[in-house]
Amino acid sequence: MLKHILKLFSLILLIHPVFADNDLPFSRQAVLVESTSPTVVMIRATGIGTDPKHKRRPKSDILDKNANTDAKRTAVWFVLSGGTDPMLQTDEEKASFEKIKTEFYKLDNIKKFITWEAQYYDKRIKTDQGKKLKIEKTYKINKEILREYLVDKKILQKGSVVALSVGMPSVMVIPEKINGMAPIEILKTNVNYKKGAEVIESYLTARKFEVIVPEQQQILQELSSTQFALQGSEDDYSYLLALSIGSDVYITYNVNITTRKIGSSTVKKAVVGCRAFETTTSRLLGTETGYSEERTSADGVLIEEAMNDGIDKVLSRILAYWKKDLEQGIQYKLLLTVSDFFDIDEAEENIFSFGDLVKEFTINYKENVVSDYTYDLQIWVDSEKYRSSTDIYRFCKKNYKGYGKIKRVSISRKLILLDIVEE
Amino acid sequence: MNIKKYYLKSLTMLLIFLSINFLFGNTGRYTRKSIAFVDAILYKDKAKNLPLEHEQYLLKTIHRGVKIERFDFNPLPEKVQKNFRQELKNQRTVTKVKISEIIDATILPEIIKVLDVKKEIRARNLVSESQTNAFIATKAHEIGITARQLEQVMNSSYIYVPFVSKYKISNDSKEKKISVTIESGLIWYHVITTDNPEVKKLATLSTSVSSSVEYEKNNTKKAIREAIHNIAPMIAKNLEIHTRELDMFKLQTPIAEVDNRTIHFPLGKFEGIKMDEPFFVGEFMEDNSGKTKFVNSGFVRIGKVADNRQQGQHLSSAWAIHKGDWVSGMTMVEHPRLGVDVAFKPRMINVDITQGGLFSDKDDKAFIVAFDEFSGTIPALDLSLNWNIAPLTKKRQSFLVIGGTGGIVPVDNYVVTEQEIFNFFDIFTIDIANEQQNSFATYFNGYLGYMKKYYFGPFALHWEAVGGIQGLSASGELDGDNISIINGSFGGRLGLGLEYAVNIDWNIGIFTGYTFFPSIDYWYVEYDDDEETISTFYDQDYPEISSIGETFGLYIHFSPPTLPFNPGNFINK
Repeated sequence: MLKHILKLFSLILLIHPVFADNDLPFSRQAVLVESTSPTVVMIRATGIGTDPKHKRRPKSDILDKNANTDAKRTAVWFVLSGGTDPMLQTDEEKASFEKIKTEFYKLDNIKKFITWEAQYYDKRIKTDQGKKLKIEKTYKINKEILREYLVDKKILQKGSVVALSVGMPSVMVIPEKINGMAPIEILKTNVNYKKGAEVIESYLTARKFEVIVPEQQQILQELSSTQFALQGSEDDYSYLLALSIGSDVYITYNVNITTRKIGSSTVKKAVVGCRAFETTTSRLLGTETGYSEERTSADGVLIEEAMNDGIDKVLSRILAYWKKDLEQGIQYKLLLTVSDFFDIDEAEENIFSFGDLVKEFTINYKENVVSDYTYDLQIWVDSEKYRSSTDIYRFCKKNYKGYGKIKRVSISRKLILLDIVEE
Repeated sequence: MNIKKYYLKSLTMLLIFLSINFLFGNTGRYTRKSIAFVDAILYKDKAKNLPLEHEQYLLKTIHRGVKIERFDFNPLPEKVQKNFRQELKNQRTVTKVKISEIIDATILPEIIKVLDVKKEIRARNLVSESQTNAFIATKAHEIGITARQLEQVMNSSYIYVPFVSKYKISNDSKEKKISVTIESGLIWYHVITTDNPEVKKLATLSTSVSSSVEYEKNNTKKAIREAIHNIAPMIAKNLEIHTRELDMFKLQTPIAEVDNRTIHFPLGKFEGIKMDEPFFVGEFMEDNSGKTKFVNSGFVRIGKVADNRQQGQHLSSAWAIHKGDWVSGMTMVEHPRLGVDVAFKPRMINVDITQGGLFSDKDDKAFIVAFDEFSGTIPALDLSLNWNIAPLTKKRQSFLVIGGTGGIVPVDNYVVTEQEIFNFFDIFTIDIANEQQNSFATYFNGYLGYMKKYYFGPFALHWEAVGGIQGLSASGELDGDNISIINGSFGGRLGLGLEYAVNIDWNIGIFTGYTFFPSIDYWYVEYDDDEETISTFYDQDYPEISSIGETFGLYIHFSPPTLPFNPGNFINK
């Protein structure tokens, strides 16, 4: 009986807000208003204030103070753990944060991340017969300061030391094909698309991603050879381009501006779609649509506003993918072709022999296509041992024990094209 | 009706009237509205038409009254107004539906045009605090107006139609007095700017104001004109108050800062707030059914009015009279009032009358009016209108006071007819059996002055200095004709009072002061409607009538939302 009473008492202590940990966010209701800049987000958060000491006639200043504190905590909580793309993504990060959460949510601490706070409430209402105060207020949170704090506290890994100094992923930004026009051509001729690329690139550089800007002259040659090597298996221009350039991830986007009339004024709304892909497999990592408000502003302003709305979430998903992927090592696409000089049995032996070799230098691998003369796979290697794709090539060339010898067709940052030819 | 029920109902009505609880549909702040009006008067309920000259004057005055700073006005071209008037004339009977249809057909397209031209400028006022700190303002350096705000401007438009439902003239030819009563109002419509724009009736406001004017030489036309000129400004003022009382036009705003008993808030000259205007302070409360209502916890009066017509952080301030547990973020809601307090002051005044008489010898009808001695305090009732002139003087709680006092003086006075006069020659004793004796005389006083109040929380100290005239009147009869006699005096009064604000509309208190109306030999004697000349009778002096000394009493004031007469007339008179 006593045990039951104790259990019940503990439960009450846990669930009752008065006894709950007062230094944690309580309402946990917030909404992202906009990504004001690559480092700052505007959040509208709800705060709920109670006055545990004066239950019958709560004091307004205490209710107000507690509701404001709760709204501030909720705003920071939203960036950290709420929404679709929180800053704390992995289980390890969440577990580490749990240990410091009480210290973290202390008012003096969270104030550091709030760069602006609205003077007036968006909404203020008393509930529960006046015993609770519910407010809605808008805040700007500096994600970068928050990230640095978490890195200092070893909750997050610093960008440059993620997975043993491999670095942040390199990202290529390219518009989606429109009306059969090549993306690079679109970038050169369409100012709206150029603006879109600029905004995404601005976000990427601010987040310390390595940005690869596709410039036609430099990459055309490699693109052609990649196209040639992958002939028949792929015809996605962006994918091929990313492979050629060797980005870890590539982002495609589209821009659409709709207009309508309000009286004699034309108001426009920009809608942008952003999609991020893993380069080696063209797997979709994240897709998001960003919307601007309907305004009479110039297209460029609307595109930037819409892009701000969409890109931040996509980048969060890229980062989440990258962190997870790096746990397996660095990923490459490896395509081996066997010369038709060899008969089918010899070619098969060669592929088996190469497969054995793959097991030696990879942490993990995945076979995509195995045919008579082709071996297509994704590999994950230890970045300490193999710092570049050339290291992998060298290892393969040196340790291959099958018929013939290994010859390089093309090597880029993410794609290794090899050929087994007669000696 | 059951008395208990009646009182209960009255109390409920009073509570509602005093706006203890407001019901609001939203919890936001006031947003500016665009207003248009039709330049024509609609005659309702078969009301008699005003002469064109007076109609134009009434219209002009009403427009001026409703043209308050919180509105943006949409001027409509004369051609459009003319079309409307013509359409109105063409209708044999004008129903409410018909008016909407006529507005839709004649005026609405023009309103839409005006709104369209001005929408972007007006939408600037709707840009929120978050928007001014968002990307669009901080990086793109734009104002950040959205389509939603443009639509809000287009849908925040209203139009009113003035009407007259009663126009009555009474002529008292005996008194030579014209009394005019006009019942007038506004029908408010909301302009809905969809693909098929239309107007929707929102509210009907009405007020009734009367005025009486004396005339000479049967010149009633001039008297009517004067009466209408008295009535029209008051109708306009009453309609302005009624308009401000409508929820969609009522000012409300969050409190920016609470500093002891002073609060700061983002309203100012742009919204037309004025010094000393009362505002409730409270907060929105959600009940169990999810409905939201405004619950007030005290009230303030405007102190400093900020000039917020330019961009920037301009805060006005107000001082608490009844202060609740207030913090920033709570809401202030306007309590529209005329700015004229009606004060009742039951008081005791000192009156001294020395024994004496005065003689009138009109042809064959001579008479004497004599007063016995009296010295003491008498009860009197004082009624005044305290006109808040703080917006003019820039000193809060300063009032122009205009009022009067009435009381009964228990002094024996006599009207002695010719027959008794002979007795006087003999022994100067009055034959009691034949004289007319009154046991009282009427005291009255009219004054104009200045009052200043100093609030300390709900308590206020006030002082006043007034000057005016005083009179003591007695009457009698001679051969069936009335004799009336008035002694006049000029003087003044200084007063000091302590008040307590019971609520936003009522104050009660006490006061004391010193009255100085010395004895002056100014007499007005009337017999058979003719003024008489008077003289002393033998060695009998005129009575000396004065009111000098302390005065004290109770103070009660009420702030009415409207008045059925124009208090300005008293000042004019």
